[in-house]
Amino acid sequence: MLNMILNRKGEVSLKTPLLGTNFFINIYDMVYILFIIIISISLIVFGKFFIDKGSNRAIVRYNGKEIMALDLRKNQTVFLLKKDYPLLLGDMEIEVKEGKIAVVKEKSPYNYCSLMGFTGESTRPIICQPNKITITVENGKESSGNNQVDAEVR
Amino acid sequence: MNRKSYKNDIENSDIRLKKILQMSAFLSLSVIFQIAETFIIIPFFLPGIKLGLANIITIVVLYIYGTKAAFKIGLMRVVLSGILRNGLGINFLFSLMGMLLSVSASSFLKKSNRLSVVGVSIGGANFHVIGQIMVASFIYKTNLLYVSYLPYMLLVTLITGSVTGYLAERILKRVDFEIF
Repeated sequence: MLNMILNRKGEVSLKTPLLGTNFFINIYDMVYILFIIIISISLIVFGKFFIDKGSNRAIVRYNGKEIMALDLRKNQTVFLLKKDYPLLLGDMEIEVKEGKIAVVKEKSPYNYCSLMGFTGESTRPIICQPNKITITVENGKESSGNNQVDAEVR
Repeated sequence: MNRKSYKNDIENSDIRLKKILQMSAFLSLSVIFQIAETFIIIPFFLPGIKLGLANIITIVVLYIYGTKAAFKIGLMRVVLSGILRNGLGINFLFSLMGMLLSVSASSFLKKSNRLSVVGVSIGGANFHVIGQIMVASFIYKTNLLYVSYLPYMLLVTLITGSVTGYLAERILKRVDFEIF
């Protein structure tokens, strides 16, 4: 628990019992922190208005190039194989379920993109940077990319 | 050459040598911190969250030697840790852009003489994230990261920036760099 006390100089003393010491942040720090919090909340609210509720396809890009467009209305599992995409660190499994998409299996140092879970929102792209794969959810009637995909679909 | 100017020359070279030695120590520490913190995994849905331990050194150098030295240390740290880890690829670009914006912002905020060390550190951490997201948006060709990642990352950096700023402030108060 932080106890905030204003001292004589107008600085805010944050007593930190865990560290057993005091440190000072002044009123300008507090204003700056408040400013960042307001900006962040505004961006989150702004993002919520931009969520494309009618998103029905996910674009999968490999090394910046669109390799497939997946229909989110159809439950399916797609495998990207290392032999077809040499920059992958290992075979990757992408799952589409109930209008949402996720990378369920991949090989990377921290597994961030499988940790992200399912997304059906255009503002939450999946980025697998070590594997050079990005998945963005978009709204579109037909695929604009190359449909001759070197991937196994189950 | 008279005795007085000779003495001055000796003193100047001593100061220069001390600065070089201190900067070398700071550079080594910042490279170690940058590499060490890649082993600290924070399991969170946002990729790339780090404590920013190397930022402690940047802030300390900024307060002792100024903006130019902080840029030099930052640049050498990014290049060296890039070479030692993954090479000069995308990760290097992320670190480079983050460092450039972070040091610029920290320097600007320090010069304003309004914010404390903690505030300057938080500003640096905020702009580090902004720099990285700028690179990511350019590479992955999407502007959505500004609304999907940036606000959450900014909130997280308020905490990480406070921690590193607090540690930098303690170091600046406790260590006498004149005799160090």
